[in-house]
Amino acid sequence: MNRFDYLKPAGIKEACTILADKGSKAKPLAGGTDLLVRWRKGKISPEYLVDLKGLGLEGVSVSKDGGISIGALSTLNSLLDSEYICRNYSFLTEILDDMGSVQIRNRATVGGNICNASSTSDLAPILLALGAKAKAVALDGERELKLETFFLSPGKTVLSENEILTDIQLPPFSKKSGAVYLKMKRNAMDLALAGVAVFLTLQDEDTCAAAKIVLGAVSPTPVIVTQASDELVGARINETNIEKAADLTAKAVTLVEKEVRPIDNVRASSWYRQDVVKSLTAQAIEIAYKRALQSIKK
Amino acid sequence: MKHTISLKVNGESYEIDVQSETVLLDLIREKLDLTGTKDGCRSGECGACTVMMNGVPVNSCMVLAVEADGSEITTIEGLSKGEELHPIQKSFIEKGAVQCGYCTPGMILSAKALLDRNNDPTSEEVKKAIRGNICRCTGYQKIEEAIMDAASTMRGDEK
Ligand SMILES: Cc1cc2nc3c(=O)[nH]c(=O)nc-3n(C[C@H](O)[C@H](O)[C@H](O)COP(=O)(O)OP(=O)(O)OC[C@H]3O[C@@H](n4cnc5c(N)ncnc54)[C@H](O)[C@@H]3O)c2cc1C
Ligand code: FES
Ligand code: FES
Repeated sequence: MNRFDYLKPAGIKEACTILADKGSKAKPLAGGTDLLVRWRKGKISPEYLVDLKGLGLEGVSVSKDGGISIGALSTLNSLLDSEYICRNYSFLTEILDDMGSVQIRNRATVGGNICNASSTSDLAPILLALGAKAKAVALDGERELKLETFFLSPGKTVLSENEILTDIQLPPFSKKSGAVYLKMKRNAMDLALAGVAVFLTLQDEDTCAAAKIVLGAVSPTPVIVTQASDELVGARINETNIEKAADLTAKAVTLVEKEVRPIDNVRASSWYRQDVVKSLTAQAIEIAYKRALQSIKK
Repeated sequence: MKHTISLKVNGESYEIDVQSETVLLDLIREKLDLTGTKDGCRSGECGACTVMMNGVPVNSCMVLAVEADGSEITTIEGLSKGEELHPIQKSFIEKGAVQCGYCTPGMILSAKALLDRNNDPTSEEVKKAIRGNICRCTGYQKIEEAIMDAASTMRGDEK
């Protein structure tokens, strides 16, 4: 465990200046639930920790179109307390409620979860499925990114070391949509062995207008399985195409696993993971479909 | 680097020097001599180090002492009123929810955090509230019973 200095800037400009100044010697600190564990294990040895909790980056705001902007420093528990999220993005509440422990959720932030770029993040798959955007700031200004382009490899995002993630933006959740994230894990506090997020939008009660299936935990970064989603779009959702989409998603596991041997066998073997993904995907499509139908009827 | 922080622990104000790397757990145990808070895994998994920070439970092994500057901390020592134990503490003793006792302070603070927000929890809600607290002795059944029992006592107190 190396020693570090703790710095707590009072404004964004000051924080960006410090990060630009210290370069790779500094690490932003949010809830610390990932960072402090890795520091203690000697996996990282920052010389400076730059606490982002004084920058006013917490809270949820509703945009004009009914979408939301989630401050990067919002804790997971603060989102569980958000009535707007509970009412309009209840599938998100369901996911948050099943993450870590109360103690972890009181510290862990949404931004930390995303910036950590861990393959086992429980938020990344659903946020990707929804088409979320990330907003970041550095000394030379702000930029907005599609989350799809955000993750590079485990622990690596497109953000440079002097950029700060400020918000995660979600589009409004349509009355014709349904979403769910299902994961398989060994026990309540364990990280996911495999996770599948499904987001469906219906045209009418029968036809699927848009679909996104995202795989988590089985690949270095979450993967959008386009072929599987395409199986559903424009079609009436039935047993046959659910089965097909689930098969294609399970096949995607073999593809992505080639890139990540280490993930194989650490917490589950590859064939087991494929089996799990297939059944999770089929279940998730069914649930998302039912939810979309229900909200149309409401 | 040294930082001077001020915080309230169990209602008492302190102004203390801490190093950047010091975690709240070590500050509480070593500088303030409040050894009721236990040191377990130091990685957020076991909950033995649970304290309340500004009214919500956190793992004190996962919080830097300097991050607690300006905050109000409650440790297990802050629950009793003098010799009079808190109803949750009493109930843990009565229901046999304490064996070796290592998990107990954290467990009780997680229970208190739950009951502060919800004085009539279901057993499912109790399980969720203590899922970040590992007990290697009791098998959780008696702990759950103790929390349910304390909840009912505390509701009674309010009437
Ligand atoms: C016991 C335990 C259980 C857990 N359970 C789960 C679980 O069920 N599901 C799950 O997904 N995760 C889980 N985690 C992982 C972790 O808690 C989450 O990923 C959490 O959301 C991380 O947020 P943080 O604020 O603590 O991040 P930090 O540890 O503060 O930061 C993580 C990384 O992101 C960087 N960073 C943070 N914020 C920003 C920002 N705004 N801009 C730029 N860079 C930034 C930091 O420099 C660091 O590299 C668990 C962890 C523990 C210890
Ligand atoms: S010692 Fe803090 S959670 Fe185990
Ligand atoms: S009583 Fe021994 S760990 Fe819980």
